Amino acid sequence: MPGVLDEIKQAVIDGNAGAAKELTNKALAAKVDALEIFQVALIPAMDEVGRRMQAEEYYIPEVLLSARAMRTSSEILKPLIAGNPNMKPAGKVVIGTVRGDLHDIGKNLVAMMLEGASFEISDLGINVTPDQFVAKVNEVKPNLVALSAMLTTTMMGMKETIEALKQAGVRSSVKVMVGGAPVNQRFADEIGADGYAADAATAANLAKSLVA
Amino acid sequence: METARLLSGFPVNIELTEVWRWLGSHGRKGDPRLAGEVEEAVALAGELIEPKAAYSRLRVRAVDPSGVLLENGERLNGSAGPYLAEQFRGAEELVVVVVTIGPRLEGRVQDLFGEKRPLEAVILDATGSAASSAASRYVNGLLCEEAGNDGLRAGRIVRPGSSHWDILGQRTLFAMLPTEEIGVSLTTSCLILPRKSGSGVVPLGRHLAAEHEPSEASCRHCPNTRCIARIVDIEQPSTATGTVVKVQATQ
Ligand code: B12
Repeated sequence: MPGVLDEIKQAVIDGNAGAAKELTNKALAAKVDALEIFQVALIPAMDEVGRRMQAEEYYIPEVLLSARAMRTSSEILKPLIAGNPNMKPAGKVVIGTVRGDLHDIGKNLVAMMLEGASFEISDLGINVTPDQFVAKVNEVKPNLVALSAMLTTTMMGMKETIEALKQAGVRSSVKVMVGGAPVNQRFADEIGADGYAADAATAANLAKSLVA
Repeated sequence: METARLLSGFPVNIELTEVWRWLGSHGRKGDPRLAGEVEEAVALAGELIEPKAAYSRLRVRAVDPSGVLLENGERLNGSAGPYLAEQFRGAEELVVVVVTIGPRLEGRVQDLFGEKRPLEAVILDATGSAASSAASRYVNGLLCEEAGNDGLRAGRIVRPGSSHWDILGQRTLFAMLPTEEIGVSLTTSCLILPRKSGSGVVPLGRHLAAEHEPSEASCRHCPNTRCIARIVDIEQPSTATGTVVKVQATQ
């Protein structure tokens, strides 16, 4: 039933939560597999939203409208695909804003886009110490650690976190990505991060390429 | 410390176009699907904000390429010395100012994220940024007026962490104002709490060298051309300060 899948995808791209809900229920009533809806409609829809954000066709509110439409649909689907062995997350991510920094809007948006790309997220919040990152990495064994900072005074917390991961012997088991207003590729290279992205959509693509 | 003036409850006019700007609209018309939400956020912000300001007028002893020396012995300098010297050329006094809209709006933003309502959270956050800059504009206007009454012109506000002034400059500023009396503090990493706050210094003088510009014109001095909140009719950072600014795609 490709028609309805295309329609669901379009509803998410358009940020139309009402249509996304209605069409998801319609597809399920027509016996379309829940996992298929997820993989063929929702994930590609968020990919397209990310592309539009990178191309500056969509700005943050439009991305959030789409994310809301996706969530409306995925909340219906989740109970149906829970435990399905074919439903594998794209990877696990531990994310947080580093020590001394209390900004979270950017970090939250990155977490949302990663979730939209079917990553499993452990969000440690703001003002996260290197030790807290290490403890969480030991606990959930993620593929990725994502660090956010908004100030030139706190971005060194990223370096300290990477050092702490090294000290704890877990640096090689994770990829580290960094971002936030004062961060750039050069800084990411200098502190030995594996990747940098300037916005949440690029962050999702970066995450996918880092775990590929 | 000179006696600082404290203000509270002054009018803050949050313009819808400003909210869209802080949402990153870059001059485009706001998405009509969100018009209602933006209006609601502005109304809610009206209930949540508690505008307060503290400012103090201080005498300037000297301005030289290392920065600005105040009569009270404090110095505004560091790596920003030459930039500050340029902005303060001709200044006889300066006003050091901190403005906030209080903690309640950002608390509500946090709650909305917790309630998994990120769209509302982001819109309210942008409304808070619009309110914070509107509060700063109001206080700036007042400062200009007061200076004008004394025959002085006010220059452009210069903010630690913006343009060429290191954010560590916040420590010097905060040492000169009783900000605790308006519920504002500075963390060791130089973040102002509440977050929807701003700080700066305004040069005053009869013969100021730098022209007075509205505060938005600070975009002109910022190399981040992809900034979410950049004023769109300002495309390139200017070299008006005499410093050649490198344009980068992202920062
Ligand atoms: C909105 C804003 C304000 C608002 C609200 C501030 C707040 N804390 O809520 C107001 C007007 C109040 C304000 C005030 C000030 N601000 Co301000 N502000 C901004 C602005 C324009 C946008 C920040 C924002 O909310 N962006 C929206 C979110 C969604 O973006 P984001 O957090 O960057 O996240 C995105 C990306 O960075 C990336 N990302 C984020 N995290 C991660 C993590 C990973 C792993 C990856 C891959 C990607 C990624 O993806 C996100 C989503 O797309 C920035 C400049 C800018 N363009 O970033 C300056 C900026 C943060 N402010 C700055 C300054 C200096 C100040 C002041 C100190 C100025 C002053 N002296 O008055 C004050 C004080 C603030 C304080 N509390 O201390 C500086 C900080 C510079 C520095 N040296 O550290 C900046 C960078 C501007 C500049 N001058 O360059 N500010």
